[in-house]
Amino acid sequence: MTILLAKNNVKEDIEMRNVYCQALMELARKNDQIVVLDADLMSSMGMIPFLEAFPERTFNCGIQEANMIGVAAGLSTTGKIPYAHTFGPFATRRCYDQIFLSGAYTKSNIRIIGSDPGITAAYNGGTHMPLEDMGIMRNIPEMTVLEITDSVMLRDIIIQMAELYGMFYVRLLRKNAVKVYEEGSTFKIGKAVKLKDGKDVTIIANGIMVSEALKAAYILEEKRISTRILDMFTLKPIDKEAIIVSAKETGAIVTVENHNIINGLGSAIAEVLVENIPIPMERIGVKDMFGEVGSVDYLKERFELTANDIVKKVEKVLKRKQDMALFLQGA
Amino acid sequence: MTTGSLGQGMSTAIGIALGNRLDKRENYVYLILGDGECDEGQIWEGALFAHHHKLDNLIAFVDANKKQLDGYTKDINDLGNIDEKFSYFGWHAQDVNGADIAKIYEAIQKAKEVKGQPSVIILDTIKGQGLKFVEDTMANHHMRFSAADHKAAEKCIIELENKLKEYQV
Repeated sequence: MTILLAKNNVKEDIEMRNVYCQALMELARKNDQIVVLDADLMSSMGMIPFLEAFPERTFNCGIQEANMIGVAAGLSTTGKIPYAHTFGPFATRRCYDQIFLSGAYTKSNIRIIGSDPGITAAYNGGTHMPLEDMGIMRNIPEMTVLEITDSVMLRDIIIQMAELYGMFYVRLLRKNAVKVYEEGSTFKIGKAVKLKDGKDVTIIANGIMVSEALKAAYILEEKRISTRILDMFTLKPIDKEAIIVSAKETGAIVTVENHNIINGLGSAIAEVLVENIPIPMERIGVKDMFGEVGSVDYLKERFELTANDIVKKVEKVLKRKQDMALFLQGA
Repeated sequence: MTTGSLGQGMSTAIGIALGNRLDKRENYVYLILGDGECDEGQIWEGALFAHHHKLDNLIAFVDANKKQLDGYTKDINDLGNIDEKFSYFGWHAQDVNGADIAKIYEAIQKAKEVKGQPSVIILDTIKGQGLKFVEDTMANHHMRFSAADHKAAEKCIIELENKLKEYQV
């Protein structure tokens, strides 16, 4: 794993969907087993160039996600390597049983790509906002669950996955991410990335919340709070070791996700802490609510997912850490 | 490939047929469906897709025994003419007596000659066909033999063993 961190927290010029398409075309040129499926969202995902270059290996199923997953499973039994995309809710909730049985239970080999994570569905509103997708995918045995941070990670992961066998759910943005990693960075599935070291508290984030966590860290530095930041891009299998080490070394954790606080990143980390080192932890996420129509910036405020919200939670968890220390001293 | 959750076998069979075609293999994919199973929307998703992709290497059978777990299919969700429904979805459809192996074989051979369309063979069957005791039991989707049915169960086993002898080469 090689990590080169970008500076400045600015948006990338390239859209994630273009990187997705380019990476798949590169793979398809070298490996004729790569096949692509979609459920009538190829244009939305920038995949028309792939369709034009490899028409015999592109299966646009139309608006039928259940069938799409089963077809991907069938294709995988003949040795094909399917990448199946649609928007997050339709890639998970809508065809859950198909992913579970035709996919995981049967030990198929499918990469399921769910786009427009959480609030980034923006003006498509609550019907198109996957706020539980990571959680429900995590509940399927033998499923690898990932949330991509930026285009550098996306390219690396899409290419890596072609050589792996199993069931994968990958959540990703379609448009421009904030740049976190420089070109040349490579990632290990299942290993968190430490973006910043610190000793007072650890913020563990994924996806679009990583850049928000970085913003919060700058604010906290001014308040003399030394913050460690981890990018936990693999939700399952979770990097238990990284969580335990950070818990030991910083004593307080705040988790940040563009997802329901139930069953996502926060829950997964809490599971590790409770069984190993139950330090104070706070969760930032959508508080078990439905999505709404709005710009991403508006929705970040609406659902309390901003850097300022993270800072407040850090202050809360530090107070709890202090209280616990006093309590233990008195014991 | 598990088809335990009904309707899903249609899609996976289609995927296998597509993969075979990409690899230029000449074999057929045979898919067995229940008539009650045709209640599931996924069957019709697959039916649309298979026709659109001209999957003539896919041959499906529908075990049309006119019953599902809770009773007759016509009382739960009337399927009407299953062959017509598949025809309207662009499939080549045939009806055969599900107890006549020669007729089934003939239908398969005919299906193999069909180009540019997937095929379905609707098998007209009776649930529990061949064992009078089972045929006459209304709720015979899933049967348990209790101690009281001991004699009936023994009779069934003897009948089945005799039938097996008929098929021995």
